[in-house]
Amino acid sequence: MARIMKYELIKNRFRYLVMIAVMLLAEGAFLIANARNYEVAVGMLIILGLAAWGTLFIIILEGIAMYNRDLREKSGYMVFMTPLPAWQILLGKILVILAVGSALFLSYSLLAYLDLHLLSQSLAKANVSITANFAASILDSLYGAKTIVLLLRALAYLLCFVSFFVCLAYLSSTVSTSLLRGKKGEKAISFFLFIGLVILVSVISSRLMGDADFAFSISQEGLDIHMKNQIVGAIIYLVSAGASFLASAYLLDKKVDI
Amino acid sequence: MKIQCEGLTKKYFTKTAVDHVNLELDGGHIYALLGPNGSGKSTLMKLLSGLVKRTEGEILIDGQEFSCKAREDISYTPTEPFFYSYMRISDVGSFYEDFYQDFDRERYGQLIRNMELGMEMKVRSLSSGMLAKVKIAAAMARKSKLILLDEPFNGIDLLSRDALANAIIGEMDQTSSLVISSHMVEELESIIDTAIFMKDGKIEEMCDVEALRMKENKSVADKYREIYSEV
Amino acid sequence: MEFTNDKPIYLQVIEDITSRIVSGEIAAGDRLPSSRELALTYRINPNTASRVYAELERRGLVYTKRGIGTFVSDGNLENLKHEKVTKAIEEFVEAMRGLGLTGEEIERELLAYLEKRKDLK
Repeated sequence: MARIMKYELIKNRFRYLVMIAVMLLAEGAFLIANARNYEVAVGMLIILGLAAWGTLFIIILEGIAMYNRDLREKSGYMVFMTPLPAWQILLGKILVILAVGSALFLSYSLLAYLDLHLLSQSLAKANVSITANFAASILDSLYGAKTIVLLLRALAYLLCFVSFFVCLAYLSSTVSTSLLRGKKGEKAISFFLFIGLVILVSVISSRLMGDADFAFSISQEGLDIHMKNQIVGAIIYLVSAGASFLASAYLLDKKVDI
Repeated sequence: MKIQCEGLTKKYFTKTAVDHVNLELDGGHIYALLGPNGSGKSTLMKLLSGLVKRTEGEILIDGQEFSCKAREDISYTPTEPFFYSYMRISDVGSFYEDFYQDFDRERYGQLIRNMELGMEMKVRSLSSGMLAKVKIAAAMARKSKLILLDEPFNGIDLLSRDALANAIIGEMDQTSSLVISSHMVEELESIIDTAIFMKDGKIEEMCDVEALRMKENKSVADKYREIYSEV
Repeated sequence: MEFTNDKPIYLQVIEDITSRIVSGEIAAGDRLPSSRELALTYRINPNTASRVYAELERRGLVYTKRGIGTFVSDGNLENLKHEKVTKAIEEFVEAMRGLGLTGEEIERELLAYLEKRKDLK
């Protein structure tokens, strides 16, 4: 499986390098602009924040598209001819998406978080009265020292959701090239199946999680409820991800023609 | 290694590509899988390599049910180019070395040199003849017990075909079996020992090449015409 | 080498090798290529190549030293040559008769031809 991951990484190395380069450039620009030109610095901060989400989306979507290409194009012979069981091939591919996606997302958001503090410090030093309040870290003012813990928890929750999303997308691609292969509208059916299942699971998990009142969640009691809700949601997503994964592996092993 | 197919069938949505095939392949032979386009040759090969999943029937490898493990001993080389486009010829070698224990890096290098290719060449920029050579080099550098070559001579000039045929004969292991599919019979005539004729997804006939010449005074090409021209 | 369709390939290869032995191109005691090399030079199936040597050995034309190789034997050469000559004459005579010539006519034609071919004298 490590070998599958190795080649998935090599195949996409240029895309990943570009993403890292963008991150470094934006960070460099921020560091230069900080304490000199606040508008540019704020701009770079926003770019870093947006790019964190952007890279995550690109990596997820490209990872799904790549699996589709492997199933439908000749280059799929490379990986599907190897003497590895289907589940290892699938797991290798999914783990690369999750690992690279979270590594990049985490680096981007960590940088954005650190930069926010740098910016607020330099603003405070410069006595820029209008923005000083804004810059004194909104998050810190809300949660204080718990911010990092809360952020990491949110990231873990996000990771569960992304795993669920990717596994379900893999399942729908696999169904489309096995059970639905050759049937009219195979792609449309599998796409709606995917969307339908995403909505279904999300609705179920939000029902089970109960309502989360944002204002309420600032209090300690609210935070505890919030955490419980997150754990319930994460479990539902992980269970769905696991089920989709097993179903995909079974279909890939028994039904999919390459 | 002995490969047995019993009632092997592959149905697609509308048609039956391989239709209740019973076939036995033994080690030490070079088989030609012959028949016009669409007769089921490629599908049969892909069934044997596990890329296509059977609808009915059985594939037994030395009496054992086919599994992904069997691909350690079975190599399949499709007609189409399939290497990742970022790869150099050397990367193809590394990939094979990583995934197949029976791959011999030195042999691969030797074959690539013999075919007058360079390790640094990009797969993407190779002509179809050169690409066919790389595929054969990669396939023959493995000591697989069953080697499946799907239309290796397709769209390739005469000199490259000679080079391919030499690589195949020269690297063939005494205990391995080799199956070459083609619709160009003359190419294979002298290098095979058994011809398998497929028609409409079924095995029409399987015959020993020398016996055919001795008993019926016919070459494989004659037999081919006899089987397929009556349509 | 081009193979004809009417005879097994291994027999055609045997004929080619024996012709070379008779003509002296390959001398008695010479080492013959390994069967894989033979398969490559004639571009034939390796099994066919092994069969060629097995058959040549059975006819006493070659012998195998284990681990060293296959060699041309020195006996039998006259027999082999005689066989080949008889066969060539047979084919020639059959072809002539096919053209409607009698024995006497064939002899006359042959002598006349040999007379003209100064390089044979």
